Amino acid sequence: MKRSLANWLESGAPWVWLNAGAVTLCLTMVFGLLLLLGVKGLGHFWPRPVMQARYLAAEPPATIIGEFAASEIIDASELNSISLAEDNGAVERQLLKLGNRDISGGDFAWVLTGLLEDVGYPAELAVLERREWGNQYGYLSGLRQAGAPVLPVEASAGAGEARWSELHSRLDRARDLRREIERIERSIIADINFGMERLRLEERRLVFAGGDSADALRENARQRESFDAQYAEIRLRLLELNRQIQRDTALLRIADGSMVEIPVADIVRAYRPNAMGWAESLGVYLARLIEFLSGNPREANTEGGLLPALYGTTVMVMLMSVIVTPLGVVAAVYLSEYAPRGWLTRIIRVSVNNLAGVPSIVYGVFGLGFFIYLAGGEIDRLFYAESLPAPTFGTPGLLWASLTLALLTLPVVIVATEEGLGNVPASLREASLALGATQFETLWRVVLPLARPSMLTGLILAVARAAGEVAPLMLVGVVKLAPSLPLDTQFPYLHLEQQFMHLGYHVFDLATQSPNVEAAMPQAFATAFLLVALVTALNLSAVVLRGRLRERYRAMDT
Amino acid sequence: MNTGVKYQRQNGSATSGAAGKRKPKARRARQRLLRYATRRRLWDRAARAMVSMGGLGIISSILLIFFYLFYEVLPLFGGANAGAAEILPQVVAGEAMWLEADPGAGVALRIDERGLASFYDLTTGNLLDNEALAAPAGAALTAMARDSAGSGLFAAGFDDGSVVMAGWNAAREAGSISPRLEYPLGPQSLAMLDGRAVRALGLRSGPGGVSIAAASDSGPLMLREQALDSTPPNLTALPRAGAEIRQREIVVGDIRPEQILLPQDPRWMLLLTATGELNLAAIGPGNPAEILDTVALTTATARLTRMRLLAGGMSLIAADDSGRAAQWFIVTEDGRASLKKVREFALFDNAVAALDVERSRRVFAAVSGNGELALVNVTAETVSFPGEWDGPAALVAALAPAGDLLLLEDAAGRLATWRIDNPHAEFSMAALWSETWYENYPEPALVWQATAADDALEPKYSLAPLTFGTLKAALYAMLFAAPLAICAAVFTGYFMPSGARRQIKPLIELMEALPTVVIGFLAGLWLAPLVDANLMALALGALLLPLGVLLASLAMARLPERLDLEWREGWQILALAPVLLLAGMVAWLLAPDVESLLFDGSLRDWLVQRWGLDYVSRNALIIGAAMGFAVIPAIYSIADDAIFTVPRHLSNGALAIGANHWQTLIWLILPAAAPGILSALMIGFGRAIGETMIVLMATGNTPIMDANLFEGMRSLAANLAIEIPESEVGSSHYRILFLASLVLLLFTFVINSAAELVRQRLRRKYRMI
Repeated sequence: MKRSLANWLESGAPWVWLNAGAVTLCLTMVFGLLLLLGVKGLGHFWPRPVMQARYLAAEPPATIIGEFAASEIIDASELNSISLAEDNGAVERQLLKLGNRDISGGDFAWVLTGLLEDVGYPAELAVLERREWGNQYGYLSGLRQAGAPVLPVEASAGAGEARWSELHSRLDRARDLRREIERIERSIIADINFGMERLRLEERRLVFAGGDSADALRENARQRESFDAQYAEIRLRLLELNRQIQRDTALLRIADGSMVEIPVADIVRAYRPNAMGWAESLGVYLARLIEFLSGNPREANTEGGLLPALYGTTVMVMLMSVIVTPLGVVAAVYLSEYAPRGWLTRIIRVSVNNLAGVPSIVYGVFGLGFFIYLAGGEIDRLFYAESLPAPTFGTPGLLWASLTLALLTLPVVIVATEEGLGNVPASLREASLALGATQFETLWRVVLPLARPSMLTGLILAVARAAGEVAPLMLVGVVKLAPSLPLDTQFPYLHLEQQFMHLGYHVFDLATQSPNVEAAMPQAFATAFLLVALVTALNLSAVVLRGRLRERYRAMDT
Repeated sequence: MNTGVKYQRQNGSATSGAAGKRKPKARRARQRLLRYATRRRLWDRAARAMVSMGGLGIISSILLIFFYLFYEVLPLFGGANAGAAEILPQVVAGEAMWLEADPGAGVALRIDERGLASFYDLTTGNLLDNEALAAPAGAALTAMARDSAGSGLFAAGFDDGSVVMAGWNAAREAGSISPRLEYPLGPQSLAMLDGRAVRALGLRSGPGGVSIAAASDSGPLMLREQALDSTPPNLTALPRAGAEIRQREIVVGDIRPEQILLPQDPRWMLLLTATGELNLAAIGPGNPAEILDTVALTTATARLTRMRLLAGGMSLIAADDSGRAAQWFIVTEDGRASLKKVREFALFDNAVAALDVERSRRVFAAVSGNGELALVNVTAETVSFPGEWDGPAALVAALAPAGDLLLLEDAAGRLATWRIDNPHAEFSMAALWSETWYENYPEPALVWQATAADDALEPKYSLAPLTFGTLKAALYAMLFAAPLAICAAVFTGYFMPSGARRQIKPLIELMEALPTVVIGFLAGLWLAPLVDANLMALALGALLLPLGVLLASLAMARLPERLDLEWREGWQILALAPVLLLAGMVAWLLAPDVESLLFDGSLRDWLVQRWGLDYVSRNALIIGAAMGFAVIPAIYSIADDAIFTVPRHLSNGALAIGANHWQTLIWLILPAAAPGILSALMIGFGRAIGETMIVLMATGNTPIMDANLFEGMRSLAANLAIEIPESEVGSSHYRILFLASLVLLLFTFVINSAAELVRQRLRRKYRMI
């Protein structure tokens, strides 16, 4: 035994195993993190059962209704206000989402598990997701149309079902109306505004130009009148629609027994989680997931969707790709094909390589100072002098963010492209040159097509980096809530000077700047998961692409 | 290029079609071919030129980042400059009681001994207006005092014991300036000393109101406190008098003050006697006042010439006839307040003749008897001598509120202005890195507090706490990451078959791709509370995890021979997953018992009580783990390459002469790969230094200097993210932040370059082997 232990130590096996343990730990951390994000991020959309219980710690004991959010075991001594039967060490408490923020002030509360009584999950309990003030929990006890009850308020068995189907049909109606209102506001009114602005500028131009412009001005005035008429008409229509959408209200009996009347138009979604089977739950889950991906944020970003952030990230990354690809490829082609072989080129190559390791915040500082204050300030002075001192380009915006990130990812593209160019087998080049092609023709017809996948790899890596980068963007262009999208149907379509929303910054904002941390956490997890999934997918595709490329060259070389 | 292709095809068909026909066609074809060749050559050359230019341009534009940062930082080192003195056409009589210059309004104000206020146009030097100070009939002006809060208000005392407080306002109407005196407390003079002539006067305004202190040759000192209307009608207007008035007598023993200073802290009053002694008096509600400290402002041989409170009203500057100027302030130690000489500047070799201070920065200007001009920032201890006055001796100097102009009155009654350019007086390398004694601090300290909540506080620019925080975060991250990454690299690089390695390596490298904002989010909002609640389990886990692995290894070694799987296969990493989970579980289950057994129930409380360690939730432990997680892939990837690329024939040789794998690794592979591993560590360190989001989100971002694992920090990078969007473009703060980013850039660049150099050398070495 003793001998074998010595042998065992001498063989180095324990140390090898420790090394293996390090690998396992690293992999566990990676997958644990992905799993954590996946579970917390995707699980958030699943409708949870809603609990009803009597809470004895309240004075007098009160009924509470809420969703379970978290639980923890704490030392009883850390609680001071609650009278416990016995003071013996650890107690369990749970965080409940009680909703009804407009009534109670906060929508989360810690309760002691031991002091909950009559815990139950009544099937009739309803969750109303509202446009404002978060969720509301309670029993649907009636519907009103223009103040008059729609269905008799009675407790018969079928009444609940009837009320629910009635509510859903009214929800559909309100949704259609809202869609119509949004369509009008977004397209027709915006078009009218744009037309009016065009007329105003035209008029100013005519006045400045002087001369005989009476006809043109008259024509202008006529057009303006027609716009005004259109606007008046639209306004009436909107008023009518808004009146219609306010028609229905739902009556909800909430935890403390009081009745709350909620306009149906304010309800995003209504369901009874305790009564739903998994198929119905899946339906709600998918609906919420779709809203998350395609909706606008509500309630200081803690609810609703993140379409603007997704959209802003995409537009910014695309703009950055358009800038960085040609620049990176040209620089790489120069370094690999044309630069004289010597120490200077070597230094340049090492420098470019090392710039990829420079802290991203430094790029942000550079972008802020150079692009925004220096270049942007100059552009404002030259082209937007009329709107000064309010800056147009001299303030963080889409263009500057894209340029900064292009600069940040340029080394990535250069390095990847150069690697690809260097990996093109020499035999192919030599064959091309031997056939009489010039250097450029060889490059254009032989080398570049072969290196195209490596350029793509570089671009994918650059995009992945840009999508996940936040620190520089905080200085050069992102905001927590952008009033409009950076690319829309209004002239000039791409709004380079506008600030935009970004997935990574969205996570930062939800995690650290949100006033309602508990409400923001699930949304932060979901956003983080989306971001990680996006970046991981991009990176894995680059890895696969690169691997395949390597195989191809190897095949070519032999 | 496309045209060339087309041409070639046409050409090809033409030649084949022309085969056997007449000569001119063949010649034409040849000419065409020649032209085509020339065009191709031209294309080639053009492409070369364009790509070279473009490539060089792009690369130099990346390198622009260095130059731009330098360009922004450079003005910090510019020092102070002064233009030539411009002498105003007016000649004045006597010595000014009061001199003030406001280049913003373009007006200078001079009040002579008779109480006549004269306004001058600063650009032309013309007399704009004369206005007599509202004095009681027949009274003579005896003393004046400026507001220690720097509001521009002043008080004038008369020989009948009355005092009047005034300010001035320069309204611009239709291009002409019409400055006039204003009296926030009303033009009627305030009776304070009952007929005794006012000899010394002090004034302080603040959010609570104004305080005026007046003293005469005999009798008690009088302090008057009056509330001011806190909302003046507009921004430029002076505040108006409120209703509440308190006036009380203060007995200060037999001290006969020549000068009274009311510092910003209303508890104190400073009294200067004729002998140059300064008394610190506590003027609490009690009467008489308690004299806490008495100091001589100058050495025995020197005589005090000028004394002023510096901006902010917390410290004073005293200049003497030996050319020295010293900063004093009230330091409270163990509840006892005393006056301390904090620093001294030997400015001239003759007397300081005139002195004035800026209104918001701790900057004063001094003019010597010989006419030398000195500009000093006391905090940063920057002294510059931007000019010299070559007229008769200067008597009174007035520095503009922002320090951009100096107005001087000389013995010949001439007024002269100096344009001064001194934008970055608050910057000095010494203040950036070494301990500085700040106002209200009991001793010199390293503090970063660039954006003070209150203008009265001086900004404190010491990069030391930030650098310390950066290094602390990076070191703790390296402590976590380096062993893990290198061990993992050893395993995949040496023990694992290359097929499995190709699968595992990208998975670990995937960590690098995870956005740091997500890691920061998880660290700050998920890990920190988790660690808070399970500190003991974590500590136990750190112990039990390796132990579990060793036990597993031992168990495997004890297995019968035929079950002994070949351990070079690398399957251990799968086998160990349940082992690690089990060890973690055991640690978690044991934690409460161990904690109550050894640490009185709570490791956290035990640390706090037994070792006096402060514990905050978002601490260096969290940063170490989170940032360690982020730098593991960088270290791992390069270290693994370094180990993997050690030529196999070396290890085969060692194995052939009887060494086992572990011995080969320790004595051969690791020494050979050591430079590569070192460069991996350097690159990891470089990443940790510059990482922003993790530190920003997972610490409290308090710039403290404490190596405690359970305290937070603020790093240079996080500080940039927090402060630069709010700093004013071109200000000292802005440029110092640029300096910080330049430091970051250079540091990471140098460290990366060194790592790259090491790697290249290694590669060359292996190529030779």
